[in-house]
Amino acid sequence: MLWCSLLRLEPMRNLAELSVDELAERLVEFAQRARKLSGEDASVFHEMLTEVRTAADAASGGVLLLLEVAEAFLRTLAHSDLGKGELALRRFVVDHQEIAESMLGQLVDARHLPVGDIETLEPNVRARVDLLFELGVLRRKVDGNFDLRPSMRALARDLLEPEVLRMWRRVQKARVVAQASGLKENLAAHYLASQLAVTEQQARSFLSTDPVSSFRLNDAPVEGRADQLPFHRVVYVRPSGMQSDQPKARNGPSIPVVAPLEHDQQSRETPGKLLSSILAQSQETLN
Amino acid sequence: MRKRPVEVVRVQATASYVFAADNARARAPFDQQVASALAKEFSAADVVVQGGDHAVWMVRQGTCRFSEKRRVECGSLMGSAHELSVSVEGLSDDAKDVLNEVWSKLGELTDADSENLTEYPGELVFATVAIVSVSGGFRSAFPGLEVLQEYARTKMAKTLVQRADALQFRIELPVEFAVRGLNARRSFVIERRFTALTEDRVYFTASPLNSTDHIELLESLCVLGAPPEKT
Repeated sequence: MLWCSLLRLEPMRNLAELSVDELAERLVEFAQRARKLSGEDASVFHEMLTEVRTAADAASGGVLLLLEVAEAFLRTLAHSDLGKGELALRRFVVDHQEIAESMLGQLVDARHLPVGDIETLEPNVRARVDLLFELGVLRRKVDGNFDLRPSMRALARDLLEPEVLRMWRRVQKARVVAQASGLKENLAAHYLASQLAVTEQQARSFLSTDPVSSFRLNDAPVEGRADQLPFHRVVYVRPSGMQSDQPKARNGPSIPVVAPLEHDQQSRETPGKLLSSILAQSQETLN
Repeated sequence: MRKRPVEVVRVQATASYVFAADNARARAPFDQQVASALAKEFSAADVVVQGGDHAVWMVRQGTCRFSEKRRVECGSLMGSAHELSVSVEGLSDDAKDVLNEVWSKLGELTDADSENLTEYPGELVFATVAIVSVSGGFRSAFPGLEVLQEYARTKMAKTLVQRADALQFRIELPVEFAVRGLNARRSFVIERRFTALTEDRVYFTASPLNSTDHIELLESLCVLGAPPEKT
């Protein structure tokens, strides 16, 4: 168990057999080191609390009183709003990081792995994985493979990659698209808000200090009515005055053709397709 | 062996996510096709959509099957433009898993991104209803009840319809708290279970807490004022 190895304590099943003085000394040491654990390790505290409670149920006298004290302070540390599956998945990643990264790194992209791979795992790792199957976090398929429950994929992704880096990547992606599409401030704020799950006001405030610089092609777009909905394709007027063979547009900014973003597998769509999906959304909200 | 003061007979937990703004995924089941697909996914008995100013959709009496060994019975899955809520037979950690599952299914049905529910600005809110058996009762926590019962017994004995020692009591503490700009009114409730016999110590309890905190609250009340156990 991670916390046992971290804190170098005997397994909980032996704590009830210690004398009161020995137990007091161990629990003080335990509390001092537990403070150093990250607040994100609620899953670790949760399991510690379960084991302290189990030991307390079998204890009596001074040993019981000490374990109840330990239970009281663990109760606060172990408090979480996580589900059973979430806790078990977090614990798996905390305890067996390398194996978890190797396994979950493939499963988060909706891939399957052969069940046979699990049978080669060490018993303690296998026990964790069996628990994940029992809770439904991992699912056995009829073809002899297993996958990760879709509702757990986002959490697994969070656990494998620090949130700050994911958020940075999302912000960068949204800015690049907004920039490449030449969106004006209000539209850029609307687009960023929809992509980043923030309010428009927050996005506008962010852009006021770090604006998206416009990106213009040589071809000047046909000016449209500012009050009409944008995101329609435009007629490109070449400097010579000849029209291009692009589809006729009604209004809106130019939408240049740009290469798909390559650094993120999830965004294989072109900016035009992304914006058309935003159109449907903006029309829906404005209606 | 340590004796727990509170034994849980039955518990229903509710987990809700209140969004900061209108959420398209939470609104999706107002579409009949999405609602039907969701009901089918959870083997639900029926779907109800209530319109008006506070439009709500509800999928009732379903089951969430996580694995062969884990099935969670769902009293209701419901939602509105601003909220997604599930009520299950079980603890709050089961309710939270089901909430994630409903969110994920709605994402599949609406072709949305596979993002965590909690990545959307909002607040997670819990509630618990539990039927519990309490060996010592709650008298020690509420000593005034003894006084009330004594007055009822002595001053109103002839007119009492119910036996004095079988009087029902209800303790309710209403609270109002803010959830993302909305004010929610809930209550902490402890009352003798209506169907319990006189000698039973069975109570109906409710609170706007998650189930772990709810049970800890009851245990704290039970030991309040109780004489210390001999060791």
